[in-house]
Amino acid sequence: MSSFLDQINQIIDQVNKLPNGNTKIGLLEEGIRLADLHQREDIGYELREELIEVSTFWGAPEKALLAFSWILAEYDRNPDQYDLHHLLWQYKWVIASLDDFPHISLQQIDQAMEDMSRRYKESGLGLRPLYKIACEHAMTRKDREKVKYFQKLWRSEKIDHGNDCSACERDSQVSYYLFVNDLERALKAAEPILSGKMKCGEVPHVTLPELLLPLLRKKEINLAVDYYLWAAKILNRDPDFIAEYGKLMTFLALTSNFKEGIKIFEKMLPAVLEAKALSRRFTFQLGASLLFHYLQDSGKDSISLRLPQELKLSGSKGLDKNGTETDKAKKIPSQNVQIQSLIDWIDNDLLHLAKLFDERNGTNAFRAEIDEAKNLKDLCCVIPLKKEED
Amino acid sequence: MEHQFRINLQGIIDLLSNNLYGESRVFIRELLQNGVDAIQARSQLIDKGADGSALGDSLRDNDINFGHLKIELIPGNSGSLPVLSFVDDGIGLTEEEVHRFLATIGQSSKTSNLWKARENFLGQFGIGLLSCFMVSEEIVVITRSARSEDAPTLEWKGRSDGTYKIRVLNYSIEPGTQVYLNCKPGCESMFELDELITNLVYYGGLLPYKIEVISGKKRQIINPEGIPWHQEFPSETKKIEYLLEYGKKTFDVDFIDAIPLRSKIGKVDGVAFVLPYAPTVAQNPTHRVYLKQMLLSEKAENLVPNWAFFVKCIINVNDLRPTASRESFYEDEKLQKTREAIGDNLRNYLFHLHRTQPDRLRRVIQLHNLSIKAMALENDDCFHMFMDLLTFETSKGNMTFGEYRRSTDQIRYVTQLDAFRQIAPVAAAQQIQILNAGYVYEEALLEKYQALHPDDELQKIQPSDLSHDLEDLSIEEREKSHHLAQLADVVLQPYHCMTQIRKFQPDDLPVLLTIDGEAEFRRDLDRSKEVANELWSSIMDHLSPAASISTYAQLCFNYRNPLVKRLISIRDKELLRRCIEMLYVQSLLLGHHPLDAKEMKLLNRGLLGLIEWGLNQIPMKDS
Ligand SMILES: Nc1ncnc2c1ncn2[C@@H]1O[C@H](COP(=O)(O)OP(=O)(O)OP(=O)(O)O)[C@@H](O)[C@H]1O
Ligand SMILES: [Mg+2]
Repeated sequence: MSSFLDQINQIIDQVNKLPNGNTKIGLLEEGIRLADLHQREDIGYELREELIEVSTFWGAPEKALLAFSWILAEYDRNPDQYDLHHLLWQYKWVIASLDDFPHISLQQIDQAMEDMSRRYKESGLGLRPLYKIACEHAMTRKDREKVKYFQKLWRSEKIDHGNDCSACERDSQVSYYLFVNDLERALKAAEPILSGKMKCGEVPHVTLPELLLPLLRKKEINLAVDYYLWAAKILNRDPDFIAEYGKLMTFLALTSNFKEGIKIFEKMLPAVLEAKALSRRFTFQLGASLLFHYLQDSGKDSISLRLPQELKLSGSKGLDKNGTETDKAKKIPSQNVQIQSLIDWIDNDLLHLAKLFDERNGTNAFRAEIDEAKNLKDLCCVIPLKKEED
Repeated sequence: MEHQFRINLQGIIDLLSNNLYGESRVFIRELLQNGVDAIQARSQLIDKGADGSALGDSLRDNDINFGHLKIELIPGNSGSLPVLSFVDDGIGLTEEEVHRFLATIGQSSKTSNLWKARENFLGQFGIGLLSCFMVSEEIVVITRSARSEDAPTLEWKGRSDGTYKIRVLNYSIEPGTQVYLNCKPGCESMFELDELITNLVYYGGLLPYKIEVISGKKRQIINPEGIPWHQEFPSETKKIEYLLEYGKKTFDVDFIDAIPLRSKIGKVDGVAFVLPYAPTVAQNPTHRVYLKQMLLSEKAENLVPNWAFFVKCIINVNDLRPTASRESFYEDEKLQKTREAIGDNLRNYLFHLHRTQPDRLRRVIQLHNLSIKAMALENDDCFHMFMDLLTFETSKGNMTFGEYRRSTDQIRYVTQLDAFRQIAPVAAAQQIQILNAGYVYEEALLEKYQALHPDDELQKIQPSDLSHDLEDLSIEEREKSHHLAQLADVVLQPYHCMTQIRKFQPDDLPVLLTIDGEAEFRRDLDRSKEVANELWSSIMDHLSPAASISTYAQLCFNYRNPLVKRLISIRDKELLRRCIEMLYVQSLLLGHHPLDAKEMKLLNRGLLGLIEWGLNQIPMKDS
């Protein structure tokens, strides 16, 4: 069986060389299959840990979830063989992403959080990361009471090594102040992030986009432009950031930078259609919707776009995925697209997503967000972006 | 009331000397550095004198000839351990300076205003001397300042418990400083001549001042040659030859080429040696870096662009700031620009080869395919020049991208190794050329190609797309095989597998199983569910909405295959079912797909069935 180990080593060698991305994910999955085939749980476990990390930060939380369920079970069967702390460290990522899948019920999410909290307690870790997640979940549901409640718990819980990194924690603080409409404190809290002192794989990537709209509201134009340019540079087409790209599109739509906005839409749409974490798709589409509505208002009827072939725009029909298997291989030709049909598709998709989430959550937060976006029109202005070097 | 922090000196000294520095021999680096700095400071003193001060004049006449480091080893004998002295004829220290700099941890004359122009010095933190405590309990410094004729000769004794003594000696030495170390038990090897010389050459082999080792009657110059790449050569070829020899001597590797490096920013120059083998990640090349000709680190990583793993470099830096551990440089704009300049040097070398020695370039690219791929991704010019020369795996074997492009009018690629394995043999037999972009950088390279060549349409394909290219059956053939198609669909439906019958090469392949990304995800999900606990398995059930067509695998029967032809002629439904199941399971295994529980059962049942069937063919003996 040495050829099996050779293969595994070759895969690991490649994996180590690669930046996060689909190739890396594919290689890890291949390695996992090989390990499973040869019933080497130890190797399968290790590769899955790696897969959880990569897919979490490359916009494929569903893959992280599968791998995590597997290692959790394997851990429970052989607790002495594996690193508990690493498992718990990754647990919080998986829990945080559950909310993004609208078909997973609230009850299931609660149960999973309970399980996580039990395991954290049993190994003496504080529940800080858990409260942070709960607070974030409450924010997406616009549940002010709960947000405040968990915010309090979170801040009073001890800091230990089960925590999120300090940059991520800080970002979450910023989100909280933005949630309560306190831009000033948000900016103050964001200072170490914006000055580059605090950073990680996701910060400032996620911080910058969320500041744009509030800054526009307060007419802090220059700052907004700077942060936009910075964000545009670092997001690097990572599908983990499709929601952030949505926020950039909102900014670009409001400042009449349609060309830039369309570029983002075109570039990221394939990843958006593949994403199973649908709440991110919602944020993306919200930005796209504004973009194309305002573009239409500016007098345009049609544009030339490269669209993924699985996307069929037909009159005012919604999205129809699948059922295209008789098509020849996937070409991505440029095509002339009616803006109206694009808008119809996007808005339908938005309503559909909002319904899924609101029904699951028992609120109308998503629907309300769509409606509120309609009031943004007052903020519309024309702000040219500075020339970007790269 | 305000209080001062109290510091446990012993603890601080232990911490700094044993934890900051990786290995004990670095004390040699620190002493050499201090000596070089002192000489540098003394020459600045004279330059300063040249523009007017009275002090300078008197110094200039008799001291014009300084700049010499002497290291003497006094071997131990039965009763005593060896002693090492480092003697320089640099600026020396006054009594006030001894208290202020030598005896104060974290104080450095080199960052104070005293010595001016801090960028000229190697030291900056005021802790280097402490490294001597790793090998000696006591440091004795005898020094006389070159600042004035009548400066006294001072003796300073520092101990590792944090105490020191100072006294004026009643004799006079030449201006300069002498440091004495008494070997600490356990550190004997540092005080052996051979090892001492090795270490001195290691750290100081390129230093600009004469360094001499003395032990008894033995004398040896450590740095007779100076910087190899600064020497004059009659021709470029001679220079490269010389550098390659130097590379061989230093690293014991037969490099295949030497590339001179130079960057104005950071005041950097050196040589990059092209490795004769492609390094794996575990042994990614490290680079040897000198700071102002003094060895700084053997594994400085952030100075050379990280795509450049086809070279091993020796670099001398004059104007970048090292971090306290001296293993790397501060990540600032200057460093970034320097790195870019080094990158340009390497690229220009390859461009030059491209123009003058294309065959040589091809060899380098073949050897260092991966590094060049990384480079092409990073830089557009490199992409234009090298993309066609890079090797890819295709369904017709390895070929360069240029060869591939010319041999097909449609570029098609798969991005997963696994997908490539599924379809490559069949595609090859069909004369369909498919590129495997499942390795490092490859997908990104093709995307870049697409972006730069919007008119060439690249197709990213899924394994099942291949079956569209396979030959369809005629109406008669279809009728003849209808029952197989129908039964196969029914039998494999529970396993999320659709079937088809087509005609394709190679004839001896009965079925082609293809599993696309979505289908693969579903299989992974099923497997995780079998293992996971109840909660997580129910969560997985709700991960995405009901399974759609795209989560099905595809099994394509080959009408040309003799076995399949026989299957078509079988009328025994039960037997036919079993054969279909076994073909399915077998092709899963061939494609490295782990079986789920249901499929495992299929396999077992199938095998048992076959055994039984085989036994039934043998008549029972006594009936
Ligand atoms: N050979 C020497 N001649 C003159 N002064 C010296 C010599 N060695 C040390 N000194 C003085 O002692 C001080 C402390 O030396 P030390 O090596 O600890 O620190 P440094 O060289 O200033 O900085 P670094 O920690 O980066 O080496 C120096 O700043 C210098 O003033
Ligand atoms: Mg020093």
